[in-house]
Parts: sequence; C-alpha cells; structure tokens
Amino acid sequence: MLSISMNYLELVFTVNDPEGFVKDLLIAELSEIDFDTFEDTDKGFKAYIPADKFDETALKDQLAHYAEQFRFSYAINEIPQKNWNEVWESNFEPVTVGDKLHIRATFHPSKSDEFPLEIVIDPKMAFGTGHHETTYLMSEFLLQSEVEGKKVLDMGCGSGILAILASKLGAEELLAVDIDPVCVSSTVENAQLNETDNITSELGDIDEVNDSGFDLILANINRNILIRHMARYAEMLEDEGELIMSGFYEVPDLPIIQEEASKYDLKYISHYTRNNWVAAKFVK
Amino acid sequence: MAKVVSALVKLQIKGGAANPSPPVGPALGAKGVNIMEFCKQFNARTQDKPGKVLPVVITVYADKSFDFIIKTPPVAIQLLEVTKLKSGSAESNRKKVASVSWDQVRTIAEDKMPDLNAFTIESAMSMVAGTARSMGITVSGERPY
Repeated sequence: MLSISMNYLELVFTVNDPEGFVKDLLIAELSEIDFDTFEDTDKGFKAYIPADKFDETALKDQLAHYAEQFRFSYAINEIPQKNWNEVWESNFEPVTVGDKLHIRATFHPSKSDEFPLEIVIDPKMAFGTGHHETTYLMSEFLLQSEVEGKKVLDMGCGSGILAILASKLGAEELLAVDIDPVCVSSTVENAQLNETDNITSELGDIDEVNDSGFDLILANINRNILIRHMARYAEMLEDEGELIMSGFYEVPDLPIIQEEASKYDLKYISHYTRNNWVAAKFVK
Repeated sequence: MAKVVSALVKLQIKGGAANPSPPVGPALGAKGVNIMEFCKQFNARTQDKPGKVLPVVITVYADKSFDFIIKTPPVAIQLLEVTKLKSGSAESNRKKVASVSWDQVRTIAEDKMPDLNAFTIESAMSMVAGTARSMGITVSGERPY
C-alpha cells in the first residue's frame, strides 16, 4: 500500500530568512493545508502537494499573516506522475526464501528447476519484492502454513506478492485489496505474470471490503493501520482462522499489536523477526 | 571500511506519511535507492508522531544503500503547537493572542538541544524565546535565568 499515484505540484519558495526560522514557520503553515513533504534549498525550500489538493486561495490565506512581516515568494512547477523507483527496479537482485522460494524480476533467468516455487514480480512502484524484511517474513510464515483450499484476504497487497504466493500454495480463493490504484493494477499484472487466476484485486480500505468468512488474512501494512483494522479482521475471519501481520517492529510495536489483538480474542501464536522487523501470527 | 557517501538529502516529511511521490521519489530514486524500502522504514519509525513534520537527513551510499536520521520538529513548529493547544480556538485567534511560558520554552529548548547550535540550556532557551518573539508570540513571566 505504499504509493500514491497522482501528479504533484512543487512550490519553490525563496525566503529572506537571515535568522533561519521563517522557513520553518512557512513549512508549519503549509503542512496544515495538505502539503506533505518539504525539501531544504539554499535560498529557501520546496513544498510538495498532490495537484488535486492544491488551492491557491487557501494558500494565500494561510500565509497572509506572514506576508506582512517577512519577504518570500514562490513559483509553481507541475511534476507529472512517473515511476520514480525505476532505476532500482531495473536491476535488483532476485531473492530466495529458504530453499523453497525464488522471487525474481522478468529480466532474471528462471530458476524453477532449482526451487519448487518461483514468483515473478514487476513491481512498478508497488511494495513487495521480497527484499524487505517484512515481505520475507510473511513469505516464510506462508511457506509453513496450511494454505491448501483456503479463502484468503491480502490487505495492503502492494505488488500482490503474498496473494500470488498463497495462490501457488493452493489457496482456493483470494481477495487482494489496496488503497492505492497503482497497487491494484500491479497485483493484476503480477497475477497474470505468474499465471494465477484465482486472485481478485480491489481498490479500497478495510471498510469497503464486503466479503468475509476468510480462513486466512495477510496484512503487511504498519502498526497504526493494523490497530485501526483489527476489529474488522476479527469479524472477517472464520473461527480458527489465521491472521498474519507485519510492517512493524519487535520493539516497541509487537506488545502493542498483541494487546490490541487480544481485545478481539485473537490469540497470539508466534512471530519471526529480522532486523527488528516482525511478522506475527494470531488465531481466532 | 567506511562506505562511500554519494548524496545527502535533507527533507521534512510528515510522520507516518512518507510516500514515493516527489520529492522522495525523484531525490532517492535517481540515486538508485529502493524508495519503497525507505518509505516503509520511515513510516514505521515515526508511527508515534503521525502528521507531524519531521526533519530527516538521508545519507545515500555509492552501493545504493542508505540510512537516515530523524530529528525533532523545528522550534517554530513546536512553538506553534504549544500555542495552538493553549488557545484551543480558531486560527486567527491563535496568532493574535499567543503566548508561551518560560517552562514551555525550556521544554522545547531541551528537546532541540542536540540540533541547536547552543552549549547551555540557557542559550538554547534564549534562541527559542527569540524565535517566539519574532513569530509574534509573547513569552510571559520572569526570565528564569
């Protein structure tokens, strides 16, 4: 679920700032009107906002107070959406999980004769290539789980890698959901690359998922979102159904996740760690 | 052997909200860094400060690996937050009537000590108070030093 697919505006601010705080003030004001990221420059800073959220009147109102006191100006550039990750994606190394799973890109040679399972991922700025600890740990859990014949939800599916793996492990029916349209189309493309035909990919947050009765829910997102989703996960699981979550740290996050899960009678089973990242399994 | 640094990127990103759009995308992507990995890590490390603008200094190495340091929010932003809490009212009021206490100045100074160019807590407090006044925020009460 890591990606936001839209054009951005870049506002290049030139600030007369001998004491060095005017820049921070302007940034603080802009952060309240949907500007999400800022970059320091020698003459001021650059501020970034999704193009569809920009409202110049709101901007002028927000800064009016400072326009009287300080000297600054800005110029607006539009930055079209593109795959900013393509340099890395064009030459990443394949990943192996234990001796069972080989994850590669379309440009890598196949090793399906050496590994019982092989997944091909063309990430296109969607998360999930197996390189990140959390994807690796989720894959390890899946490889050891009973997946055959199960109905699976992959929430925050990114590239679709976990749904694809579950499908290859024999899951019967899979729903892969993400709030980012880039991830939804990436999942569809990657499912085709891997010739898995039982994955449905949908756009939306947890409240937009109408289906339930899942035997297995996979969610590699982050601590705050997992906590927000926990009640729904519990509702959507079949009795004895499993929930495997990742995207958070062993310290300090795991106990917080465990406590939240226990509120909904989700029993902690076990977890794996790698560089303090965790994947943890719970059962309803 | 120390790794070769290929770039230093200074950004301010809202806690828990890094995404691969500009400027993170172009700044890191062009260096061959896996942006998705940076975003996942930044967001996990800033879960406790959602929506707060946090300065981050990212070091990119020649082998395309990276690490980063997250600093505490700038003094001006911390002052705005304190005054907002205090007035708890509409924005226009906040700017006109804002004031902070010396205790609040000290709290911010202590928080920012590692980033400020100050050797003592008193000089850090003077810097914070100076920023407050320039922002039109009154520092109320007796200077405690």
